[in-house]
Amino acid sequence: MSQVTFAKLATAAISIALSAAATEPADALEFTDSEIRIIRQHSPLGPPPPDPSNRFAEDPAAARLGQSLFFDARFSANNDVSCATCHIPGLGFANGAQRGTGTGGQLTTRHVPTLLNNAYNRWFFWDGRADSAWSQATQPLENPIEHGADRLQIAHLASHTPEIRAAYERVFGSMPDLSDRTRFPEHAAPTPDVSPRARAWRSMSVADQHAVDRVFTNLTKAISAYEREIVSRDSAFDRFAANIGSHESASAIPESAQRGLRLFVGRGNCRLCHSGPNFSDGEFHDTALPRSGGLRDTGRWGGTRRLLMDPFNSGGTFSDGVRPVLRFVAPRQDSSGAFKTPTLRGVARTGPYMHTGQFKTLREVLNFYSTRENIPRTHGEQGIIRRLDFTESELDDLEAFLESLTGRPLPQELLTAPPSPE
Amino acid sequence: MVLETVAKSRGFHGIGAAMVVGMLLSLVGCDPSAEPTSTELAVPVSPSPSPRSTNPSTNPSTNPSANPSLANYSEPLWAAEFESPTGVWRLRYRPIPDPIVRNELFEIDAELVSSDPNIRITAVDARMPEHLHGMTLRPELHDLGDGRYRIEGMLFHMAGFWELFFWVEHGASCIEQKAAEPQRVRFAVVLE
Ligand code: HEC
Ligand code: HEC
Repeated sequence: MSQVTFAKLATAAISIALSAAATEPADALEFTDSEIRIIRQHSPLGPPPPDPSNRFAEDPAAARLGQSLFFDARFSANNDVSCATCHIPGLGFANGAQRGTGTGGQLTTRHVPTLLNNAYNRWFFWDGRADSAWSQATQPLENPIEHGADRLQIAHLASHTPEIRAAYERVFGSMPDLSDRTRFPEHAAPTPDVSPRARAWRSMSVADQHAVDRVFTNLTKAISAYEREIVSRDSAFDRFAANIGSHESASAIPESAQRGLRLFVGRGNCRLCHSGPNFSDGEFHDTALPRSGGLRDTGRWGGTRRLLMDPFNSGGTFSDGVRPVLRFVAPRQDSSGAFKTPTLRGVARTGPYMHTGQFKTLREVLNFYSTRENIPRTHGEQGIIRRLDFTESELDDLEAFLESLTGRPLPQELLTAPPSPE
Repeated sequence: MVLETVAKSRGFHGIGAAMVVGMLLSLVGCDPSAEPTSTELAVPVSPSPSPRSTNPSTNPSTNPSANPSLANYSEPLWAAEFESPTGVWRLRYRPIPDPIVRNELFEIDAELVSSDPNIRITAVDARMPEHLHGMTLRPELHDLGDGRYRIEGMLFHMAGFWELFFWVEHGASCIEQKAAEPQRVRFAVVLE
């Protein structure tokens, strides 16, 4: 409930911000032809690219089921965690804290990323260890510090619960009969250990394991169909870019945001990684963050190995089609310490920032790029991420520009559990 | 730029070029001291037109009718080619699609022309020297025979200056023995 209220407040705040931007008398900067070409690379944001690995990706019935699962805390070890516990709709589907809080109050090791524009990703997680949104969603469900559930528990629950079962069968066809507890234990998952769950999984026949994996991945395919609808677009910046060079554009974003845009595509070099209409190249970079405690995180290096070993990657049995890039994934030395470039659409509402969540505000992120203070001595991309020495007013400008990337509010009905999964 | 590349590709098919290669072969023979070779051959004969035009209609290599003299030209248009210092082999390539689209998978057609079958392309990769990193993927090299190669899994995920490398190995050949180590041919590509 409080989440709903919060979402409404956030929505109201966004519209106030937009109208303020629209009324402020602004002059258009003169952009050069090459600046205009680059600015146009960032807008508009089209529909998400197709997902060949999920043939239910565009199915509205799958999306409604997925939306209902997204908000359903029964799919966790203690009925205490749903996806929306950490990906809070009113906070841009992030959680406003440095770490996520999973089942039993445990903290996640990395910061909770926004799910805005998730469907535009090529890789999922900060380290890209999943190559589809549906295979991504299998992981939090079984992660002991997130949902802490397991695929047998999940399949049983879905098959017991009449409205979920009905919604499932409308999209995916009949659910297998899981009632024989000797064949389908209450709890089981192929965890790489000797836990009771792992032993229970090994006791199952390959065919029964397969049947359960099919149900499990169908459910997460439904979740990913819902995620495709969580799109942040039509920002003030897009209205500016659509008319750039004309007088209408001048009123779309304040002059300060225009100066910030110029820095973003110019001296700041931000657009090298935060490229294209989603302001992300979807790939991995080492920005040389100051150490924020904990073990060294190898980022993409470890993510690559996990992706290649994942039976749910898009080359696996449960995928409806391989994603072409998967074939060419291989551990590359310079990927150690690299993390996925996050989208910047909606970024003003999704703090704290970075995979560590170590920066509370956009200003802190910008100061990091500006001063490069406390960066580790050895790091990958020192050649391109240089100290930028922004002045205070330049920092204001960049911040104003990032603010202008807040999209049109999402329809209210996407921000809560649907009345029914069907 | 493009016109110059075309001219070279055509001339290369001609008798003149074949004769030059033939002469060099006989000159170099098996004498390892015959010709110094560097391990990095940094200068392409003709660099990729760079920065590439982002508007396909102004790029003759994707729109031959834009230039009448190219309209009937049916050979593939190479982006660039490189001739080994001894002239024993030549390497040329074209990206597919051409021009390369930033952050989208592309392929490369490459041709290594030499009368010595032991001279082969053994690897392809790319780097951004200013960024101190390369591609995020590992491309696959397919030897199609007759000196033709297809490279898949190329991805230039960022705008900027890229170096595209081909490693050329001389196998068991006695030609250019000094270069028993693979030579690295570098082409420059700039994306906006
Ligand atoms: C306990 C908190 C928590 C819960 C519950 C949770 N997540 Fe997450 N989520 C995270 C964290 C932390 C990450 C980043 C982890 C990493 O990169 O290693 C993440 C990453 C993601 C990503 C990747 C986004 C990107 O840009 O790569 C997606 C998508 C996602 N979660 C969806 C879900 C879904 C769907 C569920 C429910 C099935 C869920 N999450 C449940 C904390 C949570
Ligand atoms: C070399 C690539 C690169 C460049 C250049 C770059 N960024 Fe980033 N940016 C990243 C990556 C990667 C992350 C995530 C880092 C991490 O979590 O370790 C990031 C994170 C961010 C975030 C936090 C987003 C979030 O949701 O956590 C903001 C804001 C940001 N960058 C803005 C900028 C601005 C402004 C510039 C230019 C001054 C810039 N970036 C330049 C790659 C880059």
